[in-house]
Amino acid sequence: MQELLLGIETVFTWQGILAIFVGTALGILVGALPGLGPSLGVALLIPATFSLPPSVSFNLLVSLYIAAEYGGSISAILIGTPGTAAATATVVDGYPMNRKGQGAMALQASLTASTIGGIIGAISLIVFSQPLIAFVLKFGAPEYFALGLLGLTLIASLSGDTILKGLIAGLIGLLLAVVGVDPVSGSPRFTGPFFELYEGIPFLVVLIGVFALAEAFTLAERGNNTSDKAEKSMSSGSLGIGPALAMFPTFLRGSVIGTVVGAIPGAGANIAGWLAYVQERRWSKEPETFGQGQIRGVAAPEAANSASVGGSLMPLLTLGLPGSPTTAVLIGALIIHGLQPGPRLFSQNPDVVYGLFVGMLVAFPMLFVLAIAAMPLWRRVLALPNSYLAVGIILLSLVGTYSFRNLMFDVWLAIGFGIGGYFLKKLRFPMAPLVLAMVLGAIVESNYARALIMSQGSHGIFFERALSVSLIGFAILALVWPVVPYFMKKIRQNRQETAM
Amino acid sequence: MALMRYGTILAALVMGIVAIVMIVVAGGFPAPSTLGAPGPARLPTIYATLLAVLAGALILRSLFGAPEPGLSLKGSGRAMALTAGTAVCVYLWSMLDFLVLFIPATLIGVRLLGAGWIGAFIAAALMPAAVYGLFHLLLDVPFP
Repeated sequence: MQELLLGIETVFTWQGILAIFVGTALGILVGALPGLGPSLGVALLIPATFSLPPSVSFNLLVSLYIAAEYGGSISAILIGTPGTAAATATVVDGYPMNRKGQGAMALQASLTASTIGGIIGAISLIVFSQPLIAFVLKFGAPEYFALGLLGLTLIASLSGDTILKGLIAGLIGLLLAVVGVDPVSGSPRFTGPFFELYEGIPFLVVLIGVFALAEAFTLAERGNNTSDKAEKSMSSGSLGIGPALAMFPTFLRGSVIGTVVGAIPGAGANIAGWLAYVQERRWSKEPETFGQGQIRGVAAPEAANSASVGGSLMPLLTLGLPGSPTTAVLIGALIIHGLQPGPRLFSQNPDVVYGLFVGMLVAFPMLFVLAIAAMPLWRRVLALPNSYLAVGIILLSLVGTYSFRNLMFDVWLAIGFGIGGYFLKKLRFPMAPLVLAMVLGAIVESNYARALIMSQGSHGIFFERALSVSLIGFAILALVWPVVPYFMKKIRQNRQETAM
Repeated sequence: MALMRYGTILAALVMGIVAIVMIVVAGGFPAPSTLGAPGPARLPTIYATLLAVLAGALILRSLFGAPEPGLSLKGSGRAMALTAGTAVCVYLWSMLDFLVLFIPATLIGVRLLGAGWIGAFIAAALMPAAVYGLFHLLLDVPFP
């Protein structure tokens, strides 16, 4: 309690509040712009914090991280292009909602979910830091591999009515994930003469290609139409307190998934968002409405990716391990400020740790207020005819891709993915499985190799540990579950025919 | 419907060929150097084999399965033109200053997609400048 009072003293100064305000405002912008994202935003802001006290700096950077995770949903909903990797799952129902004329409602649901999810994540960080970390510490390579497998089973449920095409898209994602230097042997794979591919194909480049550029080419197809639905989208329908309260279980489920997944190092907000989305679909009484503009399909991943911020800060603060790419950048920021991430941070720099806890509880309500105030701005984005949107998306995508590593090679690669994504979309190949498989591919491969080295090549290691076996069991169950109703129906039909 | 069928078959054929090429290339990867390690070729070979099999299954389904919804080519000329224009801009970006290149490119692009002259001039004046200001001036991204 005394430490929390110290946190309140640290935050409630003009510098502390201003830092949270600036971080939140910049974060919304950085998140909404496709190609930027929280990692890049935090990294670019670090030089600006050199002259600030560490507690203020850390609140500025974490506020940007928090707001960027929300900001990603704005472009996901309005132009079908996730501003951040974490908002990929939000596109699936957010963009169809916008096209049905429910853009304002989707934005409000996303903001409410992000605020509630974020606050729950922050409270979880304060309360559950130590016990959760003790559980996560039990994860070894076999468990991470099994977790990756469990994630890959989601591909079937993300493919809609085109499971075969979804599986193919997933395999393309897995193959894209193996390009680059092999993590164990160090030999380059499928890199050709391009040294730029040695670190692998950047996830951001694929995202911008298959989502942003492919979408711009599709918009160009439609000509200069101003979408009437887009106009209606912001003027008709709002969430309302009643429906928001009715969605509280969705917010809660998403928040729990986000916090737990966020706390697993390497898992991150993207996986949290997808897991929450798929779980929400499984819980739903109307699973067939998902993918066609179901509001819970927006709320669940948004609650999860915001809650994952609190979760991902747990290993950072208690173990000094990054829980996500952005927290890896934050570790760098701590070190630059002369702080040592890990358990000693709690005793040596309590103002930073508890200032951060209180700062997060201030940042989420501030995000809510700022985002509500900025909502009329997004209205204008929606009123833009396709010609401006398409060219604007291309400009932002080219520069956003270039700014990632300052390589023209990445820009060419993104155009290639854009063209491929455009044709695949026309042929009704779903893009979500490709992205999910690419995220999980790297986790699966590195942990598969590590586990086999541990066991000297024996696959038995995956079945010797209770946690790993449980996760593999869940993966099998998740794979079989969607097929069970089909076979049950067939058996019932056969019985009826035999009885007749 | 026929267009969707041929398009799907063509895409599946390309994927199948790419998968087979990847299997052949992976065959040339070095053997595992660490005891028990799977080696750099194992997972790519498994994934590519599965992709080749599923691409074959997709061809069979397209030939003999239920027809899929139709595919429209309406407006694809505009999309192709925009794609080609984007590629030309990226090629020229290393040689020309960002604003010198992208102001006329935005004007042409927006007009090509059907916007009026006034709107196109406003877009050409504002959009590249906003992107330049944000990325180059504010975020300090060094442009080529």
